[in-house]
Amino acid sequence: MVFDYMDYFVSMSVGLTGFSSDAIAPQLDTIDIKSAYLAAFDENLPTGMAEQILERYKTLFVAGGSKPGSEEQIVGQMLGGSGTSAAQILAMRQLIFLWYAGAWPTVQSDGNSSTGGQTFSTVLSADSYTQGLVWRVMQSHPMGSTTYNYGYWASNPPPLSAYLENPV
Amino acid sequence: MSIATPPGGFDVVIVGSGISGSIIAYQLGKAGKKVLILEGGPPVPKSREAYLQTFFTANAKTPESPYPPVLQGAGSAGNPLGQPDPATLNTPRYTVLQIGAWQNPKQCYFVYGAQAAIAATDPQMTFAFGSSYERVAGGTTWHWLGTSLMHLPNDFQLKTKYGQGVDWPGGIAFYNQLLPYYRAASDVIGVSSDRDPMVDLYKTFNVQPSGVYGPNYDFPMPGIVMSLNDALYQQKVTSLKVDGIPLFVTPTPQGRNSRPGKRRQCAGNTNCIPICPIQAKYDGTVTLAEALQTGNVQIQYQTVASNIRLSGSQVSGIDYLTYDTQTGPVSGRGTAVGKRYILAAHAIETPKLLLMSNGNPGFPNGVANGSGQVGRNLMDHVMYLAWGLAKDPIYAFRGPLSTSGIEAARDGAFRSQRAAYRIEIGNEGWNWAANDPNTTLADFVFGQNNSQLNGNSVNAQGQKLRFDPNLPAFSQLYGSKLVQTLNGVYIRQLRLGYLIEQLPDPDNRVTLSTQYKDHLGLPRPQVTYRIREDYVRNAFVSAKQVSTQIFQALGATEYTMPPADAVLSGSGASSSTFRYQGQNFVFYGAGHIIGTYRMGSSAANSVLNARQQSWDHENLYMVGSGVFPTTATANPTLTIAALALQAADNVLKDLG
Amino acid sequence: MPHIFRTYPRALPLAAAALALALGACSDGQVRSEAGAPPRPQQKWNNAPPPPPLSSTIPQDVSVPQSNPDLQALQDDFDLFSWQSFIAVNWPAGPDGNPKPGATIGPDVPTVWENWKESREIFLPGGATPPPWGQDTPPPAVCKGLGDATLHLTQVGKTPNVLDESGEPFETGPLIDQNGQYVRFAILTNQDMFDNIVSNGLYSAAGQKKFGKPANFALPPNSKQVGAIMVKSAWKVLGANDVAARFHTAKALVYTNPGEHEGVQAACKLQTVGLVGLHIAHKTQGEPQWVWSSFEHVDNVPTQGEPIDKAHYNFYNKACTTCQVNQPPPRPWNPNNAYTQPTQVMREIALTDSTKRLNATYQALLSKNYPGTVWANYELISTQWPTNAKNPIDPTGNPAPAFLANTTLETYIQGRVPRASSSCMDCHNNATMTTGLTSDFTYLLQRAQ
Repeated sequence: MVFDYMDYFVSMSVGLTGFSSDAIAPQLDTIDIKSAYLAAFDENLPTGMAEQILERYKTLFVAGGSKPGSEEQIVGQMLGGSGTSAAQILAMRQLIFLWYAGAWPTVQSDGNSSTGGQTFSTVLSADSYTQGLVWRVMQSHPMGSTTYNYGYWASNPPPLSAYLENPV
Repeated sequence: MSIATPPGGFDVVIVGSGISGSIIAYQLGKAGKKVLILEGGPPVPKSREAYLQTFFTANAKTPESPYPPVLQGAGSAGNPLGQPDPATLNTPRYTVLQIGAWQNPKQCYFVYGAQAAIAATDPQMTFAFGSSYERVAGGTTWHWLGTSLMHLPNDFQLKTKYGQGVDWPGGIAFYNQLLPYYRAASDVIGVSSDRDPMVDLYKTFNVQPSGVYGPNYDFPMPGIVMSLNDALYQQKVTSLKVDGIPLFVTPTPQGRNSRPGKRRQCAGNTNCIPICPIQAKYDGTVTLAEALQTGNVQIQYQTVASNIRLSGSQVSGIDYLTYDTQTGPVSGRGTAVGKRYILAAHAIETPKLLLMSNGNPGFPNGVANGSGQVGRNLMDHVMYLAWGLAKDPIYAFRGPLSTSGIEAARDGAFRSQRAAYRIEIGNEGWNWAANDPNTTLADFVFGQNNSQLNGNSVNAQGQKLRFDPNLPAFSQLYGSKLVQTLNGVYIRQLRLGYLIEQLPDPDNRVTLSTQYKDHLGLPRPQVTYRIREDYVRNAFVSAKQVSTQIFQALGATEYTMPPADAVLSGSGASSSTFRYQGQNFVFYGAGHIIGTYRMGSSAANSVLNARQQSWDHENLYMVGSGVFPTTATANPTLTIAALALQAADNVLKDLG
Repeated sequence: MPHIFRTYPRALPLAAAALALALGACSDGQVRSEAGAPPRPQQKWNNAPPPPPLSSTIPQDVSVPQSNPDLQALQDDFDLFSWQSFIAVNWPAGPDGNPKPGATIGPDVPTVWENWKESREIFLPGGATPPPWGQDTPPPAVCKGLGDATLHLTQVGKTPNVLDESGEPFETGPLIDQNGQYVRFAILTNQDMFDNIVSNGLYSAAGQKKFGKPANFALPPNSKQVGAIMVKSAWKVLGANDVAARFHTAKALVYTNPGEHEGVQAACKLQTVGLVGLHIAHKTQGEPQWVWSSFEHVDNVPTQGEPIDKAHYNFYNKACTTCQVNQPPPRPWNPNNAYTQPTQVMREIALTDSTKRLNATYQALLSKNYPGTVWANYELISTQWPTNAKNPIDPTGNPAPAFLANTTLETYIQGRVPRASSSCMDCHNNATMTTGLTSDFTYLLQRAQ
């Protein structure tokens, strides 16, 4: 059996993003953005770091009984420094940003400024932009790409839970 | 492509294929006149795919982001956005990204002088111009919002009525003459609006209902439905008055389909600017296609007008350069000849062309410039932005970018003291105001506070702005807490934009750079831009106060971020910040480039007569917002279209 | 070149079973599996047994025999549904328009769908009530006296935005064949769809206003009816270098509608035309977003990135080195012109290997059933279907594939750009009536007067 990093990548991403795996990596995945994100996560980090993070996640996940629903608690441990370095924690946060914005971020931290620094980002692709979770967490659609119809803006959107559980 | 000169030659040569050039070409083509259009940019693409792809993948989604030439490449030291050197491009244009680099002509197409002011309170302080345009077939309507309001009668007689600025030629008579063209322009654009709110609105300005907007008129399509955001304002602002004028919300007439027609019905992609993905919104390409369909209109793309030739006082031809690729060499040159000539290249490139045409005997200051007014009186609706967070969800980022406005303060006795404005209600959250959703996202993922939601920020009313008081400052969130927080913020975001009228100032002007050229070898625009009048600055003070009142009435928390003190010199000089009455203000461009070849009642102080015809050259006309003597208060496109229709009639009369 | 995650194929000792259970099979990542992943299980038509026998019965809905199908398996099921539908609607028609008893698909004769109602016959001037099913509406006045025809082709182009059923079918441009002639289109509806339109009064603007709610073509639960079907057909006028025997042909009144574009005169010719493109959209019980099947003539165009190995293409000139690909002709457009520079067309998204195999299977089956049949000269491009039909946040139901274009019907928008490139469901989801209310994925209803 080949160790499928993708399973852990999706599982860890569920914990990081707060979205269900059906929402970010549905079983019938017509867009398959997860593959682009896994590749970007790997490419944009120092060699081996993505693998180390996923292996750490796997270790904790398996140790916890591989329980669905434990993803957020496990990434919480890792973000809290349990077996992770500062660089790995930043990488995990960059992955959150990637899932939400569809863009890989460059963070310029500045502890002395009132804003704490700035973040710049590079969009991966048209699909990554439209798949960004920001649009779903705001119960809307990507600017420039909606599947809703005329006048939808005069009514309340479906509940947030629908956006957390379904793909677009 | 080559020009096939018809037997008898061209009746009319038009420079520019935006909304004005296309409308005139269609009107003339329909009447059987032979028309040649010179378009500096590339053709209308076969579909929106390429422009939309460029937009989706752009890191900075500015109004210009979908369109060529490209805005951004790989960043480098001193050029973090990777902006191309305008000297390497055949049709560079000014972009919003260039504003920050306004002091660097290697990145900024417009050339600016160094800051002359020694204090941010100095009215002589110069700024970067706030607005941009496109150089592609179809023109800047590719990225217009779609707002289709008429100017008000008093807008045409600002001097007579309030002692400010100038009147339009003929004053109120000009307005009355324009009314039927406003109606025709609404048909061209296919404006969606209900009649009754317009009647209600105009009544407040003591305008008698007429066939143009009154009970005998209906718009081509019903009004676009209002957003949840609009409904909140509608309920709450009626408790307020500005300078004694009661506020109320008016649904905005919009150039987008509320019903299916030739184009699709608006689906609320929330992207009117920079690009409507489904062309539910009217743009100049619609009319350009109709013009070409007449069979009487030819268009030459990638053909940049470079000089206007005179024979005596008549225009005898327009010289042009062609290119095959944006960074390639000049591929050809020629002279377009017609009986009449129309400049429709918007308010920067048109005066530039006139000023470049300085080799004709007897006209050393350029064509049509006997008054010396060409390039002067550069204006915009300078914008004040205010933003806040509603108490309850209003579900921002849904629907067209704006569906309503507060129009009540567009005219009134106050106008003898301060500029008027209309208030646009944004549906796009803090997208414009704070570059959201990315800013808030980065704040809560990486523990920053650029949105003021995740630190110790306090607003002018002393309210603490941290979104969740139970979280520490600079929180770094993930999982469900991140979801709850981002959701809570985004669905409550409010934004107001004030389109403040600017006065004509002859020293706000476009001239030719003596040093910097584009890749065709043509001089680049040198721009001087100030906001000198207290009349305009007073409107910023008013806008700030009114915003705070409105957000209070809504029960919202204001997040408008006052700018830091202006930096006056060096490469990082502030582009758009000034200080007035002890407060810092930053202004934004409305995208309304106005006034650089104005109409007037005298050849001494204007470029064009009321027919939009050059005082100096009887066979030369100019169209677009460059003809406006004042900015007035409405977004300009409907007026631009109406004036283009009027000019087309004038040219047809001339041609007989 | 797809990027392969550097750490991906690597064996590690792992109890994967529990994980797979926990994650719910979220890995269909075999798309990246050049490096040694197991080959995809063969679908049934790739080996024996063959697909169901040729039948004149239009399938009511897709059949999914697999117990836990993945995306490709379901796509294969929908592709099979498409071919079954194609066979059935192209079955020889009897005098009543229904499948001719005792006949089989093969000869080039009028088909079942050609007896359905043309849009021109439904949305009449002044919103008049259309004649009942089976009763023809007279052709346009300009066609009178030209003789009988099996089909009236009234459209000469299609709108890029209001894709295939707009009253203004021109916006991105017409398609010009290698003989310099405009390709013509006609949209037809089956009886279930026609009955719904008539019984709800949706054929007129006044009727739509009175109806006052979104249109809905869904059948009642457990109905035995086939459900609403629309067909959009594309035809070329057969002329020089066209081998008529390779096409399904019709004698048609080729009508140029002056309302389509300014400066175009009404005209009508009785001509022999060949079928080059066919969309079949079917509102099934399981797919409220409809199932969208798209077929083309095999000689239409070459595919970008594949060999250009045919002697002759309907919409591609191998000899032209300067022709720009997939660019519409310049305006003014006028289908009455004697000659227009042909469009140089290529397919931008290749057919999948699985669809190609199914095409070969069906083409062989058709040839075996009726040697020399024209129907073996058609191929399925793909089938678009909703992967998540009841998704509360996506009314398009997450279409698969995300993009689908027919080179004769969406010639100029064949790419992969969200909202701008051809996607049947994404575009038709925005279709509304004259009231502005949604019309259940058909642009036809906005034609009501």
